[in-house]
Amino acid sequence: MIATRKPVIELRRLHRFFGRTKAVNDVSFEVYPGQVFGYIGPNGAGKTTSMRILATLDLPTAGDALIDGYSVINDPDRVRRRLGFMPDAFGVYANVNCREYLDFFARSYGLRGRERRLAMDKTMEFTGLDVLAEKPISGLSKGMKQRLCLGRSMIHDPAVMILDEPAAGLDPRARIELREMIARLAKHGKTILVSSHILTELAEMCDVVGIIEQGQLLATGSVADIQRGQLTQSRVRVRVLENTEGLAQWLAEKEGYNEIVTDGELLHFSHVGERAEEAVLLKEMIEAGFRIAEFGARHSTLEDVFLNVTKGRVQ
Amino acid sequence: MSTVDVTPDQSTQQEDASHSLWQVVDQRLETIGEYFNPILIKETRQALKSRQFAVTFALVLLTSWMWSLLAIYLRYPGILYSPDGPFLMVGYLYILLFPLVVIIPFSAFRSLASEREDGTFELLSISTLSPRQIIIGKLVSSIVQMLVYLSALAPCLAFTYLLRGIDIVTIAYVLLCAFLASVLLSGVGLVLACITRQRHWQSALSVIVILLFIFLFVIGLVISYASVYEDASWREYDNPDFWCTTVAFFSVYASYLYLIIEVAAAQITFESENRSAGIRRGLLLQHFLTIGWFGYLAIRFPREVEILMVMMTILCLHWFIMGSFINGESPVLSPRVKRTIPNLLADRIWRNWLLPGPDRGYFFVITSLVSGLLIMAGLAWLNTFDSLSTTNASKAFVYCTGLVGFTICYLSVGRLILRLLNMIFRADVFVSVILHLIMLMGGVMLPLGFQVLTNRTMDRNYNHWTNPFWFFYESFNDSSFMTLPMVGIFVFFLTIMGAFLFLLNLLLGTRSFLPKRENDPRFQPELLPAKLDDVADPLA
Repeated sequence: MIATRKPVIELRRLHRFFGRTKAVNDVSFEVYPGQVFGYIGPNGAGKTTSMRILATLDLPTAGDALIDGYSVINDPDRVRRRLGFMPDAFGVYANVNCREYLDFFARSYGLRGRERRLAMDKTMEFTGLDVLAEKPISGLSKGMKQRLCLGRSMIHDPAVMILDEPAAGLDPRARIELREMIARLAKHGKTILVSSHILTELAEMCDVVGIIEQGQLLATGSVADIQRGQLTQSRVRVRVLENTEGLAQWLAEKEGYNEIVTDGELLHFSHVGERAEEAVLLKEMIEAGFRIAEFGARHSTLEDVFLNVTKGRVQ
Repeated sequence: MSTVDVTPDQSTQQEDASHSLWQVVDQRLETIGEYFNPILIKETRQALKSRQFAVTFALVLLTSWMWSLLAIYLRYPGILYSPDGPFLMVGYLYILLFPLVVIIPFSAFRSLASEREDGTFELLSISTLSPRQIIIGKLVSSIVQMLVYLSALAPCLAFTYLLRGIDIVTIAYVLLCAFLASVLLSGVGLVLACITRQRHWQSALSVIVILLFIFLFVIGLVISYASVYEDASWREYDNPDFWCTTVAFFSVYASYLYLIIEVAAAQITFESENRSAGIRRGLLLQHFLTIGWFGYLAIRFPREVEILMVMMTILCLHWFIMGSFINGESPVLSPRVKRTIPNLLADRIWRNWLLPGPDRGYFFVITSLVSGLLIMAGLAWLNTFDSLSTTNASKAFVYCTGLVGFTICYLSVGRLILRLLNMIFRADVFVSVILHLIMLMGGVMLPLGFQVLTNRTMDRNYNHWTNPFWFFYESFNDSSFMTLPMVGIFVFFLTIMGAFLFLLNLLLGTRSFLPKRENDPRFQPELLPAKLDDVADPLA
C-alpha cells in the first residue's frame, strides 16, 4: 500500500563533500506520509548535514533532495513552507516570553489574525506551554525550551518535520514526554525525520530507520527488516533437566552456534541467523532426547543492529 | 426608586460605550499590526524590555533635566532677556546624539550579530521572511527607538524655541539630520555585523565598531556645535538653492541607504541565491543620481565645464571602488541562479548585468563607466552650445577620457591578475580589494620613487603616467595641461590600452558573459555516474 503513495521526503543520490571529507556520500531513501523515520549514526556520520540540506540551509554537492515533491535546490521557498525544522541548538531570544516567541515565528511564516492566534493556541496546548505562556524563555528548563522549539517548528502546520537530536540532554521524563509528542504528531499525519543517539526510544517511535556511517547509508527499513537482512545475532538460554554437558557437545558439532557456556542446568549460546532456525533447533534437541525445560532467546535490539551494522569508523 | 434604577443603567451604558470604543481602537491597532514586519514587532518588544534601553532612556531624561537646570543657572539672569535657545539646544543635541550615534547603531549591530551567534538566524532564514525584510525590520525597530528618544527630549526642544534665538525650521532640520545620520549608521552597523561569523572576530569587531561610533559621535558634537551655536549663515531658508541642495543631499542619502540595505541583505542571503542584483541596482542608482545632479548644474551654469570634470572624477572613483569589490566575486553561478536565467536572448543580455560573477560584474562596471563618459560628452556639448569656443568642452572631454582610461586599465589589469590567481586559489573580495589598492599604490609610488632616485626633484614630468592622481592634479591645477600635445597622445594611448584590456577580458570571459539557462547535471541524480569521487563544490 505504501508503495503506491508518493514519498514526502526523498533523498536521491545525495552527496555533500567538504574538500576531501565526504560528509554525505550517495545517500538515498524515501519517507512516506505519516511515517516516523529514525536517522541514526555516530557523531560525524552525516545526519545533521543531510538534515540541513533538507531544511534548505545547505546545498548538496551532487544529487537532490525533495520535500513533498519540491526540490531543495530548485524550489527552496516551497520547501520551507512545507517544512518544520528543529535544529540541535535551541535558538531562543532574550527578553521574550513563550507567547511572544511563538507569535514572532507565526508572523514570520505569514500567519495573520485569527489564523495566527489559533495556530498559537493549538501549539501551546499541544506542547503543554499554555501555562507558561507569559514566562520569559530564559527562565525555562531545558525540557521546556525543547518543547518551545518543537512548537516553533510546527507553528505553521508543516507536512514534514525534521528534528535533529530533539532528546539530547533531556532528563528521562522530558524524553518520554517528547517521545509522546512526536508520536502524537505522527498520528496527526505529519511525516517526521528524527535523529537521536537514544536508540531505544527511536526503536519505539520509528516506523523506519536509516543507519548512516561515514556519510554512507548502511541500512534502511523497519528495525525487523534490518534485523532480517543482517542475520542478527541472538543469545539463547536453555534449561535442561539432565546432561547439560552432553547438550553442549551436541550443539558444538552443529554449525552456526557458538559462545556455548554451561552453568549447572543452564546452557547459553549465541546464534546468528533466522529466528525460524531456533524453532527447528529446539525440535531437534527434543528429538535427540534432551529434556528441555526452558528455551528462550534474547533477540537483538536496535542498539545491537546499530552495532552490527556500523563499524565505529570516523572520518 | 425609578431614578435610582435609571442612574446605574446609564453609567453602565456609558462604561459599555467607552469599553467598546477602546475595544474598537484596540482591534483596529491589532489589525494594522498584522501588516507590520514581524522583525519590527519582535525587536521592539525586546528592545523596550531590555535593561540597556531602560538605563539609556533614564540617563537621557536625567541628563537633559540636569542640563536644563545647569544652563539656566549659568545664563541667569541673562536668560530672561537674551536669546539663549542655541546654547541650550547644543546641550540637548549632545545628549541626544549619544543614543542616536552610539547606542542605537551599536544595538542594531549586536542585534544581527547575536542572531548569528545564537543560531536564531538559521531559524529566520528558513521562514518565509526575505533577507531584505529582516534587514528592514531591524532598521525600522532602530527608528522606533530613535523616535522614543526624540519624544523624550521633545519638551526640552520646545523649551529652546521658547527661549528664542533658534527658529522651528532649524530645530526640525537639525533633528532630521541627526535622525537620518542615526538611520544610516544603524544600517552600517547591520552591514558590519555580517562581516564575520567567528566569535573571536566578532568580539574584536564589536570593539572596532563601538570605537567607530564614538569617533563619529565626537564629529557629530563638533558639527552640531558649529551649525547650531557658532554659525547661522547656512540657514538660508528663503533661498531656493538651499532647498535644492537639501533635496540633492537627501537623494544621495537615500541612494546610500538603499545600497547599505542591499549590501546587508546580500550578506545574509544564502550563497546560492543571486546576491548581486540588488547591489548593482543600487550602484546604478547612484551613478545616474550623480549624473542627474551634476547634469542639472552643468545646464544651469553654462561654460562651467569643471562641473563635468568633477562629475566624472566622482564617477571614476565610485566605479573603481565598486569594481575592486566586484572583481573578487565568486565566478561560480549557483544552480538556483542558473535556473532563473531567461531563455530570450534580449532579456538575457539585459539581466546579464545583474547576475553575480566577476566577468559579468566587470562588464557591468566598464559599460556603466563608459555610459557616464558618453553622457558627459553630451552634457559638454550642451554646456558650450551657446559658446563661441568649444576649447573648454574639449579639454573636459580629454580629461574625462583620460580618467576613464585610467580606471578601465586598473580594473582590467586587476581582473586579469585575479583570473590568474583564481587558477591557484579562490581569490575572494578581500583579496581583490587589497590587490587593487596595491596596484594603485604601485602606480603612484613607483614613478615617484623613480623620480626621487633619478632627478631628486618633484617637478612636473611625464614619468607619472601610471598615476591617476597626478593626472587629476595637473588637470585641475593648470588649464593649459589638457591642450599639450603630449597629453593628447597619452590619453589616446590610454584609451587604446583600456579598450585592448577590456577586449582581452571580454575574450577570456566569453563563456561566462552570457550564461544559458540550464539544469546542472550534478543535481540530476539519474545522470550521475555510479561513483562520485571528486566533484566541485557548487558554491566554491
